[in-house]
Amino acid sequence: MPPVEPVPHDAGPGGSTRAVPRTLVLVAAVLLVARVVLAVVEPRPAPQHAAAAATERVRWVPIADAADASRRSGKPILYDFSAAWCGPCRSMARDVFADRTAAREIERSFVPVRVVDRSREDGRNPAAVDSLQRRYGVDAFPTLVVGMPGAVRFERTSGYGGRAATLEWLAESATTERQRATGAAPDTAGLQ
Amino acid sequence: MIGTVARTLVVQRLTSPMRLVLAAALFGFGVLSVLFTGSLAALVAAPMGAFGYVAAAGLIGQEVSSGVLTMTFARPIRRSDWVLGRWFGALALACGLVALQVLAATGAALVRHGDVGLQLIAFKLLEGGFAAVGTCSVLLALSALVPGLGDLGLMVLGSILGATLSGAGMQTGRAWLARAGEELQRFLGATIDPSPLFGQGTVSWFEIVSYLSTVSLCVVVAIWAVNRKELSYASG
Repeated sequence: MPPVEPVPHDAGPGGSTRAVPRTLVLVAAVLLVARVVLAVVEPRPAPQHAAAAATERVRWVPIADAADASRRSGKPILYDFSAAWCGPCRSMARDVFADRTAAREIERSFVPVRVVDRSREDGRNPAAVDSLQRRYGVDAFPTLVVGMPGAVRFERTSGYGGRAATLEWLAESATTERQRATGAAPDTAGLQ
Repeated sequence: MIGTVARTLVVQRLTSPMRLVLAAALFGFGVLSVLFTGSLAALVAAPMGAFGYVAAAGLIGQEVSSGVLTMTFARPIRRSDWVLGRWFGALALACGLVALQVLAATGAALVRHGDVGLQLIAFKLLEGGFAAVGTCSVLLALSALVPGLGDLGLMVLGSILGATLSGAGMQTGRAWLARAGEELQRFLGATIDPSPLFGQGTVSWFEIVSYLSTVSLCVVVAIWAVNRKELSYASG
C-alpha cells in the first residue's frame, strides 16, 4: 500500500478543491495555437533534403579520396551504403550521423564515406558505387561496412536496428579493426 | 502542499522494488555502454528518457486503482495542487536519475580515457533531462485517463498507431497521413534536441513550441481529468 499524503490542507482562498490554474490553461492554449501556426508556417525540409541536412555533422570523405585518407591516418574506412528513397537510412542519418557527439566519435575512429545508390532514380550507378557494392556484397540499405583499404576481411551490418545498436556495432568494429592492424587478429581469412 | 505531495511521490517510488530494479537496469545499461565504448556518446537519449517511465508510470492511475485517491480527496485538498505535486515529484526523480547516470557515465568514460568535456556532459544532461520531462508529462496525462498502469498500454498503442499511420502515409503517398503519424509520435515521445544550444544545427521553433505545448497540454489534461473524477467508497 503506497503511503498517503500526510498533510490535510485547506483549498486556498478560492475555496473550491477543483479550481483550475487559469494561467497554466492560458499558457497551454497559447502554445497549442503557436504549435499549429508554426506547423503550417515553418518550412519543413523535403525528404531528400532531410537526409542531406542530417549528414552535416559527419564530414563525408569522397569515395576517390578514402583509400589515401585511410592509409595516411591509419583509420579504417566506414562505408555508409544508402539511398535517397530509403526510410531507415534517413532514420540512421538523423539518429547517428546528425548527432554531434556520435559524429565526432565516428570521425575520430573512421574515415567516413557515404555511398549513395542511384539505380532507382537514374537507372544505373556510377562505376565507383557499383564496384563498392559488388566488393562488399551490398544488397540492402542501409548497410555499414568497416575495413581497411584492400583488406580481405571487413565488418558489415545491414538494416537499422536503432541508434544504440549502431553505435555499439561501430565501437566493436573499430576495436576489431584496431586488433587486426596490430596483428592480434591476423587478416588471413577470405571475404565474409 | 505541492512540495509535500512531490516528496511523498519520490519516497513512494524509491520504496517500490520493481521500479528500483528497472531503474538499476537502465542505469547499468547506460553506464556499461559507456564503459564498453569509452565514449560518453554511447549514453543515448531514449534509455535516459526511460527514467521517466520508472518515475511516472501509473502516476495517477495507480492511486485511483488502490483507492488512495479516494482517501486523499476526502480532505480539502486542491486537486490541481495534488496533480502538480505528483508531476513535480516525478520530474525531480527522473531528472535526478538522469543526472546521476551522466555523472557515473562520465566517470566510466574517464576510466577508459575517453573524450569527455564539460560541453559534452552538459549536452547529455540536457538531452536526458528533456526526454525525461517529456515522458513524465505524457504519462501524467495518460495516467489521469486510465486506471492502474493502463498509461503504459496507451503509450504502446499510441506508438504503434503513430508508426503505422506514418508508414502507411509514406507507402501510399498520402503526406497528411504520414504527418498525422509523425505528430502522434512527436507527442508521445516529446523531447528536444539540445544541439543548437551548443552551436550545432539550426533552431527549429516548431520543435521547441511543440515540446512546450505537449508538456503544458498534458498537465492541463491531467488536471481536467482529475477534476472530473467522482470518487467515493461506493464507486469502486
